[in-house]
Amino acid sequence: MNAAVEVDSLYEAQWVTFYLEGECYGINVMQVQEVLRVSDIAPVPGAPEYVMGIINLRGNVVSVLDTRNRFGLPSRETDESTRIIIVEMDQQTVGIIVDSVGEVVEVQQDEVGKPPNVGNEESARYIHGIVSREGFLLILVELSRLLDQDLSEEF
Amino acid sequence: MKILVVDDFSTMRRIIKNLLRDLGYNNTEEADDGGTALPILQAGNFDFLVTDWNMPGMSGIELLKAVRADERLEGLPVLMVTAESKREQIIEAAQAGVNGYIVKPFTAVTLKEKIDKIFERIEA
Amino acid sequence: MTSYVDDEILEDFLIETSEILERLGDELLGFEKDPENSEILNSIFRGFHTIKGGAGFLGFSSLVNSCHKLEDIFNLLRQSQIKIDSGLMDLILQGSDYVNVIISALREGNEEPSQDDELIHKLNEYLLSCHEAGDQLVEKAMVDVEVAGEAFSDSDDAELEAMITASLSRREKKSSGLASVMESTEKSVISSDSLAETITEEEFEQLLDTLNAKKEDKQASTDMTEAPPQVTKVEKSQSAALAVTRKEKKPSTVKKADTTVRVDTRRLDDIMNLVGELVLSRNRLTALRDNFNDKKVIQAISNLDIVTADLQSAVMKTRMQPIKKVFGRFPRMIRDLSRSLNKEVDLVLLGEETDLDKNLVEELSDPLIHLIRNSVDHGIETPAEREKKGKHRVGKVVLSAEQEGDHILLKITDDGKGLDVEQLKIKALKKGIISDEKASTMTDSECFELIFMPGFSTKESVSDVSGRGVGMDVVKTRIAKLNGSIEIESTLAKGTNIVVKLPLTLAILPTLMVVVNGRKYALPLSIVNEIFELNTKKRSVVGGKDVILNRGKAPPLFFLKTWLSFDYMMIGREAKDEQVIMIQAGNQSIGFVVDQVIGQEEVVIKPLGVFLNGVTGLAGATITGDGNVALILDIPTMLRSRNYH
Repeated sequence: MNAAVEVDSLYEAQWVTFYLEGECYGINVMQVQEVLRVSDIAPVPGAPEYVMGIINLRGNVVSVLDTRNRFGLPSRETDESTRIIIVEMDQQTVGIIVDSVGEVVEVQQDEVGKPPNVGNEESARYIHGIVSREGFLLILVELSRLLDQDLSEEF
Repeated sequence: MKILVVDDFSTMRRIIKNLLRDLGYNNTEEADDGGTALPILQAGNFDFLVTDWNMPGMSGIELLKAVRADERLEGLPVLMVTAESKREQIIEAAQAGVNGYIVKPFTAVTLKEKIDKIFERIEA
Repeated sequence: MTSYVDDEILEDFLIETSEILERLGDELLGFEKDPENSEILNSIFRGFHTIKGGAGFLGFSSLVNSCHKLEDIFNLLRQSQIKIDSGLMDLILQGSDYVNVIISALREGNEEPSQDDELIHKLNEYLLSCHEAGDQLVEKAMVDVEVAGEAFSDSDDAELEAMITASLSRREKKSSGLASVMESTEKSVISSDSLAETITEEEFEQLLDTLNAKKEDKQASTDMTEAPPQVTKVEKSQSAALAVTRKEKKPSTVKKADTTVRVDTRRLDDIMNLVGELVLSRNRLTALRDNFNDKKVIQAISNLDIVTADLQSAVMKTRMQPIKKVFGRFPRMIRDLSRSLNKEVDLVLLGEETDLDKNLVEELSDPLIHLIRNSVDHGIETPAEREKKGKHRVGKVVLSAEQEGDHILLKITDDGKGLDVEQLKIKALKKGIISDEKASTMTDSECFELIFMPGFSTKESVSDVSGRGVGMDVVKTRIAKLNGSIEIESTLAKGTNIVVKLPLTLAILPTLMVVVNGRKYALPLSIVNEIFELNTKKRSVVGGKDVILNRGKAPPLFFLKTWLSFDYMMIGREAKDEQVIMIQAGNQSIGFVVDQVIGQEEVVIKPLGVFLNGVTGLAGATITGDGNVALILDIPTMLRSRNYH
């Protein structure tokens, strides 16, 4: 269970959905380690803006990224439904904070469309593709971009 | 056949043990110089001794002499591993009662030939 | 490559060879000082011999050839056929360096570097030239060149045969058979063994036949009885010599084989991490101890506490390595350095057996190299200068290590020219590092600190010795990263003394836990000087900055709160029941105000991860006894990043 998921299988995989500002996003289930309720997040003075702080994950220190900040959305107080999705990429374990977590959905390859050229620029760069179903729009997130620190230096 | 491999260089011991294993000799033990080898030889029923020449402490030739001087080990076949086939050295070893010598580096085939030759001679 | 050489054997070979090379490095320098010491000579000879033997099996022809030449040279040396001089010593060191180069390349997973033809040529030349009566040697050298070039590249049996036959054919002109075997026995007993000719299989078989026959036939022939006594004579003197070395060496060899196990350091790291986890769990339980009323539970926790501490120190010990590993390379370095600078320097190493954490040993290497280079380059004067000053022409650098409590003290002392305070100031002014005003009020020790400032170098021209872009500031940063400190004392014309203080291990850090804004932070205990309540001392504002009056001085006072929130608009603010922690940063004492001091706690340092790598002022994080995360503050870099020196 790590980031080395084949590109082809990425399309046909199961996706964990989460919500940000009312929109539904998906992360490949293979990249998700677990989902946590928000406990104590220790802020780190001098940290980049998109890092909310660090948490204790069974004795390891894990950074929690502010996904809203990453997507150029206004910040929001955490509440009962706020979750931290623990993901693993390139042997780094990172938490991303989301408004709430939905369910696991299966997506077929031919369902995935190209990301639209609308919406704000910050979020567009992290989008892998769009799945459009009846009354339901799922934005597939390209985790490697979301977690790319170099990209964030540009801000 | 139970074989004792004596060399101060542990990599060399492993190489020799692997070669012996390739030849089907799986029952091998190691010692890192003559001084450690001798009590092991005296304690266990070894059928064959492969020893390096140049070792700190008790060298191969000294070990050979000690083996020949021990009445229980007198008849133990000894194969000496040397770096070169130096005439003077080999003669010294022969006079001390060595059964064969083999020059580093060597292959399993050469090793087999040497061992076979030693037993041929003993049985003859 | 053949089946008996698997990766494991290769790895073993490289590890073992590196150990031999390390030992050889020491022995070579020992040999230069004491060239007549036969024990050292034999050991060096055997070292190259052993590497050569292993390399042959693994098919490393450059390695075989280089070691072979060095082995030949030491064979001649140990037989007193040649004498050492500085030219030969250079050649030998060059050769052993090259062997090191090959091994490092192989350890890094690269191909074996191709043979250094120039070096081999030089070694050959030397071997040829130094032996006047040596037509045999010429022959031998020629064979060696052929052998290394071809036979070892593929350990095919036929080629080995060919190589033996080749050397045989050279001798075939002479008569063969037993007569010549016995004849040459006499000859070779007299001549040196390195010059002995080789024997063929057939000759050996014949020899065995004859010896067997001789055993059966009690009446030995006359030429037979003549030869053996001479051989035995040599044997006797040889075994007598060996018996002496055996007496000294055997116990350690035997013990080593019986009681040590080689363990992958990664496994040790894993164990250390697990112990770290255990320490955390222990801390958590200890924090909860007050919640229990049951005496037995409290007793059990106390036991766990003790056992954990013992386990921790036991595991730490397995990771310890003598500092000799770093020190070992300095004699050679000093030798090369003093030659290139035309200085004469004597290096004294003390406390080489002092143990410290393996990771620290590795991390320390570069800073120490720099400090020692610095001492020789900037500290020690030329022999002429020294004599003019009435000093001994040979300068002295002492490098010592000792354990002091949970710290290691490393001292580098030289008897050179010392630091010139006035010149340091002029330099710093010129470089704009300090102001005129500051220069006039600086103490001597503050001036010495200047050399650790970025961009400061005490020498006008950058020599190729200690120049190279890295300054003392880098050394200081590196030491600080290891939770260590560095101090400098110097007396003009007398010398300089640099003291590096380091923790014994990097994995576990003794800290002082404090609370700021309801969160716990850990400060390395090593920099904490004093703790007192804020309202017990008088505060004042000097030049727009808070100071606290303590022990007749007025060190600056900061509120950690403002530093952590980047809000500096709180100068002169009122405070109640707050605590002040006096911190030593370099030569400066600084007060930091915190809300509460919890006390000492040993913590396991956890890395912050890639997203927070660039954040200054933090040494990492740790999990506290109550399961929360606490940041470990790195005050010196915090001060630097906030532009405060």
